[in-house]
Amino acid sequence: MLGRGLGQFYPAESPVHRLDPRAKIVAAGAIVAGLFLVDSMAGFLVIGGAVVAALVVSRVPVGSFLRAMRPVLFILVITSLFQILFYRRGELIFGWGWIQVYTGGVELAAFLALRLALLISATTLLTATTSPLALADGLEDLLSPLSRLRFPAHELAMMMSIALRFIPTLSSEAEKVMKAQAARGAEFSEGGLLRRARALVPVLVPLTIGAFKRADELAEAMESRGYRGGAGRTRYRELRFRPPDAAVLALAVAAVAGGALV
Amino acid sequence: MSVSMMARVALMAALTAVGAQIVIPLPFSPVPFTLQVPMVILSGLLLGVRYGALAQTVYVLIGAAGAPVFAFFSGGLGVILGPTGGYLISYPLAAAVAGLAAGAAARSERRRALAASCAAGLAALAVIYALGAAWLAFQMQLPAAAAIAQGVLPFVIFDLIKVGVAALVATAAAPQIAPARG
Repeated sequence: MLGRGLGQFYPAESPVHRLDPRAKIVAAGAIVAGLFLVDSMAGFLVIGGAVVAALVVSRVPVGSFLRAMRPVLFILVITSLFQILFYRRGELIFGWGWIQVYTGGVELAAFLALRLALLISATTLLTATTSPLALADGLEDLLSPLSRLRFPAHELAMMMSIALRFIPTLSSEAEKVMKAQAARGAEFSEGGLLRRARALVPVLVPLTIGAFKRADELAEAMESRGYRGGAGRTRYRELRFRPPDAAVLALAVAAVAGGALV
Repeated sequence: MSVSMMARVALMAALTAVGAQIVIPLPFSPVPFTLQVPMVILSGLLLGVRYGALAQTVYVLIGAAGAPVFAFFSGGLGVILGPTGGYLISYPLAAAVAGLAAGAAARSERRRALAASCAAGLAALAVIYALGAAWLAFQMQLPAAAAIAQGVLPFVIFDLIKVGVAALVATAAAPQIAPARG
């Protein structure tokens, strides 16, 4: 069921892949924030230029970015139609009965579509060039100053790693239980919606109880191996912040500042 | 936070990811019927306010990190910040609201447990709708009515059934789950 276990991560050798995950997270965050600050097409072009440049250097195929757009395509088309038909500012460019299209509506639709495309490209670039585990490591490190305020930075990253590790396990377990219930006569693809939904209850109950059992076994295994939280724990993968990371951060901030000023 | 609770929270996050991939085919509807929302409610009902919210925070974060854990095997920060991201961002809060009935789901007799779970699930659903539609309206600059027509109304019937599924599962599973070790 979850065949593509690595997600959007596209393993390759590129300067973008080699960057420190912390630098990439902060740079992507700056770009995303910038997209909401910028309110001109020229500003979008500045930020868009930076995103496209990084995209070319990263060697991630363009198809990955188009695939990432697919889930929002439907809603984008509907809202664009809505803006074009009902946002009535600027000059009338097309009128036929009740259908009236104004320049303002077309501009607003294009503005929103472009912002969304840049938003998804920038964030896809982050997740395509950084594995989820590296992102969890980077996030833990970025959030670690908050542990002094009792924010569970280490625990959060550890739970992310555990969850990622157990998704394939639980997924195949779900498949097994569904087959077992189907063998006992459960119908998941016939009958009305209510019947199909009800057929899932005898799947979810053992799946849930099984997951909790697994969690308790895992906790016991961790404790018997001496796990006692983040304090004093060393890392197998050390994060290093090098000059190229600083350069990328500076470029991202410059692109956002440039985009906001244009 | 105990290791035992950490493991439970993490596994509940993983279970939400699995639920988002279980799709019931509905030939008459373009909206896929997944078990993502029942898992959000279940997180609260089984783990309580605080840990339920934490489980959904972990789920949303692994999705943000690019694991394909959202519906249709999508993932990435772009989905969360995209027009439908408000629904995802609402999950920790929704699980916390559902968690208000955690005690009742585990201890009271079945009919009362079911009623409490359903009520908490409906409140959680309201949270999901409110944040989801508000974010959609902000992102796409839609008036509130248009956002509700697009982002809430098509889903109501399906989501009511999902609340029922979550309540049934919680009342059946909760009594069989051992209390977490300290």
